[in-house]
Amino acid sequence: MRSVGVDDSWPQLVRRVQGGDERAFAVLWRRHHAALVRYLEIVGGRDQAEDLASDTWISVARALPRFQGSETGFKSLLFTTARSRLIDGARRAQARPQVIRSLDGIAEPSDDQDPASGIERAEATRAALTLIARLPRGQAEVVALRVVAGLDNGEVALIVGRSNGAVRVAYSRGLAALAELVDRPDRGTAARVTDPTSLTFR
Amino acid sequence: MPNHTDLAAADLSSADLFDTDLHGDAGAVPPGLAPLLAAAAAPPSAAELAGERAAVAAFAAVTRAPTAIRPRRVLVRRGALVAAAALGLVGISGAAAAAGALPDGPQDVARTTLTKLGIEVPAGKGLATAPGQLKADGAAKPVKPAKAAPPAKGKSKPAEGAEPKGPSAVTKGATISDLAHDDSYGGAEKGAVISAAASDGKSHAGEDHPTPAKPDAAGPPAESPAAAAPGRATAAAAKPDAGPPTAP
Repeated sequence: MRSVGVDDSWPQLVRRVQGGDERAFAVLWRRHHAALVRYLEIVGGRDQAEDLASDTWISVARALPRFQGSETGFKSLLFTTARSRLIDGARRAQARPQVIRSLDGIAEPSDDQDPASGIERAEATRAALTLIARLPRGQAEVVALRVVAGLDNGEVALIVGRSNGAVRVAYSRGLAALAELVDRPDRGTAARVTDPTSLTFR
Repeated sequence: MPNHTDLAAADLSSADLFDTDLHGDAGAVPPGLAPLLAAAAAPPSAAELAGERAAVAAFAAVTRAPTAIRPRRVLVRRGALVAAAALGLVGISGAAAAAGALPDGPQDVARTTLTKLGIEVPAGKGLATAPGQLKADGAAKPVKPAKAAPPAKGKSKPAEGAEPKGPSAVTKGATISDLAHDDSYGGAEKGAVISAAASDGKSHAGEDHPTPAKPDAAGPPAESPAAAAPGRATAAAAKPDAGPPTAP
């Protein structure tokens, strides 16, 4: 079997994944997993992000045989599924008390070739995610989907179930608020999603 | 609950707040924010990809799962095929039974079964049939199928006006049917002939009647081509049970 590399075209990659090629799936996973976990961290908190991401990948793997579309379409599927898992997780969490830990954790150690730069970069990423997570939830989600997942307004609008205009406004406000947070980090904090109904725009 | 009032109310109308547009239709990015956004979208660290092996294992488990489901799908397809074949067979048999094309045994079974469903099906050739069940374009007096005795019981009362069951009854029905389809007779004449055949000559239809029927009971004579023959139209009209005259 020919090995699958990152240079494989999207249709080829999808066909291989749909045929059960584990190496092709690994390529797919490596391309999108980090963005998925970061999105889940920003919107739902770090505690459950990895678990929700795993659930999301399993659901997506089940849906993949029927999937047809571009890589952007796949990202829409991935993040829409993640959002559903997030809401389901919040519903389950409502039934049991839990302590929401802060996102302000220590950066994960990295196995990069240059450990120092890797840690530095990971810390920068962690700090950025922490800051975005402090935005109001609607804005934080839109910023995460726009910046971290790399989706455009229309795709984000489909995922969050809002109009393009609402998404554009939320993104602009999110960026403005983020700029203010960078300047004055003591202002404003946002809670994670513990209420499934909170994933709505106000 | 944190207070987001200040953040949510951020005034975005000041365009000079933004100096770059890194995301196309996303709008401009406020100054100094680009490095933060770039860090949020940075390539994954090794730690973030640590779960690759577990993810691939989960994927393998998921892709293997549909294999176990396949036999069920095959069973469903086979079941659908069998059902379709059975339905087709029933349809063909029903059509054959309706046409009376089945052998005597199956035809009688089909008749018994379908009659219960309100579907009239001819009996097998060897089966005695009450004459009332044979329809000859209205020449024979129609009898409801419910009154017809099932052949297996044999103790049923004969239909009204019917001869005892047997080959002669079948012959008479066939004769009446032939007469009804015979174009050489016309109007009241055909009615009289059929009436006579049905009553074994007891009918007086078509003969001169001692008391002429009233004109209004006979209907408009001008519409009947047989009105020119004296007495016949009157006699046929006076005995409507013999069946309506058929125009030649």
